[in-house]
Amino acid sequence: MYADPQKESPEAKIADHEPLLRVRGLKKYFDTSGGVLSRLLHGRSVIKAVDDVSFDLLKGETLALVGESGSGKSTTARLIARLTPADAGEVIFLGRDTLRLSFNEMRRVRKSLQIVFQDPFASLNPRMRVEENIGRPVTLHFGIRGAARRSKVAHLLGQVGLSADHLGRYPNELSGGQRQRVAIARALATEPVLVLADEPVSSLDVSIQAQVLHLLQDLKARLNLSMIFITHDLSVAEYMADHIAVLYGGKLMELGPTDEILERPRHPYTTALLAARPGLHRSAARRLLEGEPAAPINPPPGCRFVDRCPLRIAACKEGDIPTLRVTPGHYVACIRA
Amino acid sequence: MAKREDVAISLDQGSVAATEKSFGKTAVDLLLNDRRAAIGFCVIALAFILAIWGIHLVPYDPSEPNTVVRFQPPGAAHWMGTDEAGRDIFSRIVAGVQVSLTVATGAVLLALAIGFPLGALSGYAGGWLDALIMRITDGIIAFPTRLLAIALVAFSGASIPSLWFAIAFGSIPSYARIVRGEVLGQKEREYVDAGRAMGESSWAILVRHILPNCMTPVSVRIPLNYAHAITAEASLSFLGLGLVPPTISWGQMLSKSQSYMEVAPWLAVFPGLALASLILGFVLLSDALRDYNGPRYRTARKIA
Amino acid sequence: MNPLLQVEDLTVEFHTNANRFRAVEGLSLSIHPGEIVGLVGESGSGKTVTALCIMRLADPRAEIVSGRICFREENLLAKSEAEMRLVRGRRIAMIFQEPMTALNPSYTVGDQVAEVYRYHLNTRRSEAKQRAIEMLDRVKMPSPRAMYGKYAHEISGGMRQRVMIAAALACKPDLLIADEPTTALDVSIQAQILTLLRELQREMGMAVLFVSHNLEVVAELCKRVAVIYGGKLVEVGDVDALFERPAHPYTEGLLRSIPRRRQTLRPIAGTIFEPHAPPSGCRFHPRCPYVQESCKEKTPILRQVTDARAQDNTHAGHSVSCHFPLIQ
Repeated sequence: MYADPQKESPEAKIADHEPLLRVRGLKKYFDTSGGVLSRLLHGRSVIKAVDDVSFDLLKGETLALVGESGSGKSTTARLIARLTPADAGEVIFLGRDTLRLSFNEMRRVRKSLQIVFQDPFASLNPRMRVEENIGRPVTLHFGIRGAARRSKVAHLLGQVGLSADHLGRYPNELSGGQRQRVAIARALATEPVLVLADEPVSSLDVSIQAQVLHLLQDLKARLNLSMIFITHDLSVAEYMADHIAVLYGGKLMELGPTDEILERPRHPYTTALLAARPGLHRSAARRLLEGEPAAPINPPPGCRFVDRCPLRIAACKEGDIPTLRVTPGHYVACIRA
Repeated sequence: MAKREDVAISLDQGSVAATEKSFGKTAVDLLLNDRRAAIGFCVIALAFILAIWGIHLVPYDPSEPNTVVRFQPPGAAHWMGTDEAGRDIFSRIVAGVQVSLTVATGAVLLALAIGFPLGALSGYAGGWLDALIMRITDGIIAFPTRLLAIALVAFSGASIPSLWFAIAFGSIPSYARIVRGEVLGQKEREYVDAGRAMGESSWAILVRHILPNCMTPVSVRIPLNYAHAITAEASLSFLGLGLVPPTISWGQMLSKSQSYMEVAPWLAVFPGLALASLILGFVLLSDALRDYNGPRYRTARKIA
Repeated sequence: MNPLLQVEDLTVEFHTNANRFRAVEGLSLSIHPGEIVGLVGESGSGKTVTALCIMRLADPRAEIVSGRICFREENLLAKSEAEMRLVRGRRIAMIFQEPMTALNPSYTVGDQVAEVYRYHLNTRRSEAKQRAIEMLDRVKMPSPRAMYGKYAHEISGGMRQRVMIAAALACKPDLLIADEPTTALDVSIQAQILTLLRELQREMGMAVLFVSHNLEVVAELCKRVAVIYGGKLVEVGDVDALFERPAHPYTEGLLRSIPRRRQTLRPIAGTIFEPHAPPSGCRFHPRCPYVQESCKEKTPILRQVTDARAQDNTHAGHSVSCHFPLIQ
């Protein structure tokens, strides 16, 4: 799917016409075949976790990757960050294909591309104090150490709403919300242009989640950050993002500006996800999806969503599903859209 | 101080949230709360003190024979009695600590120095290197190490370095496997991804990020290793393969005492007690460390 | 009508190493037959402890310092363990957040449902199996006969949750306690399970206590909602009333914490207090945007809201524990 480089909004004239990030044909297949005997008896078993995903991101924008289990959203983020090697595709970031860079060249690129992970418990090194956790990337990319580093780290802590008292603490001495703030401070330490946030609030309580989301919005505006926000929660996506990409079974189902996705969703899966949101005055009469989202193991040709789709027809199982351009910037992969 | 969420979760689920503290705090916490740790620590500390300065504190020269007072039972002049050459057993016991600890420490450090990096490399690199290292350590485990120790000592003579090698050899696999296991587990943790994402080199990730988090089971193992090494040294000396006089070893004392069991049982009792106490001290410390760290390995999952 | 379950002044204390703290303090709540009541709170609020105490399944380190839990006029806290075993699964059933850990991995899922029939209703094996299959069908498991023989790890999360529900409702209990049953599920599956629970409740008429941190989930399913903070109830009322016009600043804060398109998020400031050191007076005062001096000194008590608009036809009206509630 391709975003239209000529957007209507006035910011586009000020910002670059070139997208900050251009993802094309990203693929990641996991071979779970097992041993020789297993392969003989059962054939190859391949999970197509990410299958031909493409999108653009313009500077200063936020894109939400939304999906349920097995959608491939987290894997996509890991592929973009090159934490997991991709099987095919390109990721053009700041003009260079990061998938083709050498290890050392990539290390330099990493300064501009940072990640905030889901589990604040796990993403901070438990043996390092806060100062070290945040300060390490500062040393790596700016060569600053000692007192200069401490003061920079204290400044970063201030940006995320934590006092300098926290410098000497260990992660386990902090609450979930505080840890996540430290993780955000760490991501900001290298002054990145693009931040990948992989479900950063999913493991937090409602009130803390709100604090962290508010903080992220604030930081985005102040530091002019571009962001890819991965979440399973459409409410979080609608709050944070300018564009939403809906993934299912490793494939992109729909991509478009948030308002359009919310008001005029074209893909049956998007419609179902929107309808599934719990809330006051939800009537029992809404259309529920049957079945469960599952990892795409040896997926048959055709649409990944076909087994659960209320609009399916025979043609949905044949060949590749083409991408329709609904309006500039709004794309849907469905023949019944 | 435990956070409310963590306490609530842990109490609801019966697990304990991770409690990484600085080394100092951990040590104090352990010593104050676990009697085994306190006892073990006292015994070990006493042993080390005696090993270093004991020789200046003993009432008699441990090697000086004095045929006039042979086979004295324990009494006022000789707290633990005298042996077949009239030497004060108490002084000999104190002198023997030095040998036990010197050999044990060297063996433990050597095993660590070889096993730890092997395990770390094996776990981190994976693939053929992992397989190779593991097959080598499997070979060592399968090998009758006591026999090897005997053969080594018989071949190269009984000196402290050869004892070090002989005893360390059998301990290498346990460190290698422990560290490998820990590294494998930590490798998948998110902070490692975070490290990679911030641009750390592979080497730095292993050394700076992963290895500090692998110390816990190693620290539990070390006192246990000490206990084994002390036993090994005593056994070798008992068999006559250890260090020779004038170096004093408890194992040697035990060996000599066999002939005099009926007339002077105290020749065997005290070296035996000393060995047992020292070994017990290490074992208690190891147990306390293991229990202190034990429940921590269950991750605390959020309920809400 | 008399309440089915009446929790009176429940106080639960925990002892950890050197400290003791009160996870639940002076909590009173009533549930009437056939009523769906939500208990909303965040981590550490005491909601799960409360639910477990009703079932007498709380951690052994929890000490119930005072209070009564009256179920059908009998105090559950006074019952012996043997007597409780007759209650659990038969009159009061519970489903949990993580079915993978709640189901026994060594037995087939079908067998675990059948076991409920065998244990509580003394049903014969073959008949129990038949009834279990019927129950699995009732919770909308596809191919229930085939599913009977599957093990917990062979089926998906949504299926496991359905199995738990089947086992819980097998004996048609009077009260179902659901502790975050959909938190670990995907959105589309969550919707299925909530709909299922609603339908089953309508068919079987049992009362439900739905414990959750998710306000919107609670709003969908429950008729009445109790909000708990730091071990104390801060507001109880009809779900519509509570959502449209919350009386307690915490409830208002929670509602304002729900992210919405183009709306400024107004999070609640600060974090919850340390368990062993609750604030003086009102426990919420350090975080309350409307705090006054008296809030730091006097502890508020749960009081009826008398605003005419807040009167409704539920059993207990609308109460709030605040010196300066947002609606009087």
